[in-house]
Amino acid sequence: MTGRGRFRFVGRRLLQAIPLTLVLLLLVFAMLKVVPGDPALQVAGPRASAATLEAIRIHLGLDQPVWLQFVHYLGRVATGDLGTTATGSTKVSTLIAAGTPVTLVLLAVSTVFTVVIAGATALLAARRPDGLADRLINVVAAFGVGVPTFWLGIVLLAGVALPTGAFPIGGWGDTPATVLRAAVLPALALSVSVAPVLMASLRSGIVEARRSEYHAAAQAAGVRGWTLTRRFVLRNAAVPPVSLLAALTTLLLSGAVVVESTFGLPGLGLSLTQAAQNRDFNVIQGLTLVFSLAVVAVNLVGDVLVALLDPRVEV
Amino acid sequence: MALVQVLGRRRVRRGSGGPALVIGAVLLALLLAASFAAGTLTGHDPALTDLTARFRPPTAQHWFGTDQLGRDVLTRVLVAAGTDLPLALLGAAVPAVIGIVLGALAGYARGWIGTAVMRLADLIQAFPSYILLIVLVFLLGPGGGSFLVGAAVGAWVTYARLVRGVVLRLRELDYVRAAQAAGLGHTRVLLRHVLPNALPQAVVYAASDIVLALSYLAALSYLGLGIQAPGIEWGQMIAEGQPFLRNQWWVSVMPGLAIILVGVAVRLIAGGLERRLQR
Repeated sequence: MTGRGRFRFVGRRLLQAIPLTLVLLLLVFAMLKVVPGDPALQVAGPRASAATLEAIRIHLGLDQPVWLQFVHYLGRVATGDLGTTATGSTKVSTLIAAGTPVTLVLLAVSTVFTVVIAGATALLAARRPDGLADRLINVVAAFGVGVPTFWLGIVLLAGVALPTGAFPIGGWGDTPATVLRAAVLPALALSVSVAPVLMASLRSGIVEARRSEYHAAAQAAGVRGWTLTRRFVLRNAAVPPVSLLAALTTLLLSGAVVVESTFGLPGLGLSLTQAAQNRDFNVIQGLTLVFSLAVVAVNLVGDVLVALLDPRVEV
Repeated sequence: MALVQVLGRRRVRRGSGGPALVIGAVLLALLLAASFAAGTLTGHDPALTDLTARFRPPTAQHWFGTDQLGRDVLTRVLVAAGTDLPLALLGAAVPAVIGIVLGALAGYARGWIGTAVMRLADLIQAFPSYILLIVLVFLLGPGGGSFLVGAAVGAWVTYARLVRGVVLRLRELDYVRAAQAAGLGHTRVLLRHVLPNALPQAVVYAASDIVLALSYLAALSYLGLGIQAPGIEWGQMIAEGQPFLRNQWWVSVMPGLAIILVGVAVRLIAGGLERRLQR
């Protein structure tokens, strides 16, 4: 792929993301129309008169045509105005800004664990396909996917955090060291359910690379040991998993929502769960928007990475 | 994503479904039967609070110990199977049926219907499943019904893709054309000549998706958005026990063993089914 070709591909992929983002914005906007209850009634309280309700409707813009309401919604989103929480004390955008770094750190540490666990087990399993280690790892992997993440989190709390005292029982830190320590166990719980997916893809990639002609040629030329594994096996086996990247990140994000509750991590997932429990509409709507945009961005980055790494992707 | 899809289908031995299918099915049947006879089996009442017997550790009398209200944890775990298993089975079956119908439509009708269905599938598949589930439950209110709707919305995609692929491949084949030429209606051609070819794989997916449906249900209830007390559900039990984790770990940990047992049983069933159907 030429440099210009790549540039054009990235540009076109960016353009494709625009209509998708608009559809998502429309869906998130439509949530307000689906949720039971009259928004004006919620603002005014149950004893408001018809005239007050009408005034509030006009104030909220609910008397305008739906398409105009959508345009106004887009305008508010563009300026970062996502409303306030149900108690009115905090802006939703402030809540999101506070939770985002927590969730991002959790995702980053989980990604490292996932790659290390999946890479090590895939190398071990691929050493002798269908051998004892391979079968054992396959069974454990099938098992790992079925273990609920939040329950594994609880087992880690009871079995590791409480007896050793090396990790906090929940909550977040305020220095890099305490933050990392707070992220280790939840990230581990999260990785166990996601690593098998990456492991399966890596394993078949490694087995295939070992059977290839370039591998045989490198071996015949006297390349041995770790150099052979690194340069001729791992580098080629890593291409298919890169296309899994977006799907894996989405899986991790999905799991993070639950595991943040188990460990009381003040991230976006905990905010989502609490807002669902308290029926806090603005928070749910704002978070859904953030998660949607994150998914669009992750898929965009994933596609671009695949295009840059794999010469076979035609532009 | 169906579990089978995720972990790939390798090392398929040819032969009968073998003991795996039977063992898995018997395990699930036993668990379901035990949920109806829980009180008789353990000799304890699942709802009886006994404050003099709070937080008893696992012993011969209380295999899984007792909880913060002195209730027998094993009895409650067994009773909860009567909630979890049917909902997990439905949570796998409902999206399978919807996905098969939509996939068949998208493949057979093509045109704008097919495009619309598959674009919708892309959109849903790109979205993190727990977030979709939580948002839907927020819109519909907590409970088993909302869980089923959420599972249906999130999980039909796999089946739709599978069935659409098979239908697209088969609709051009001679015997389907012959059936059409013979004047058979679209519904009949679909049901009698096309769908049977896609069903075996869909059944294997659905079997393995029971685990996913169960983990969604348990997670929702764990977060307080699924089954509410006085209903008894494994995820809800795990959440109830979590504050007492420091000294009474069994209240929270034991119900998870039931989820894992179901996971193993379902894995055996799905593996056995796959071997049998691929013969």
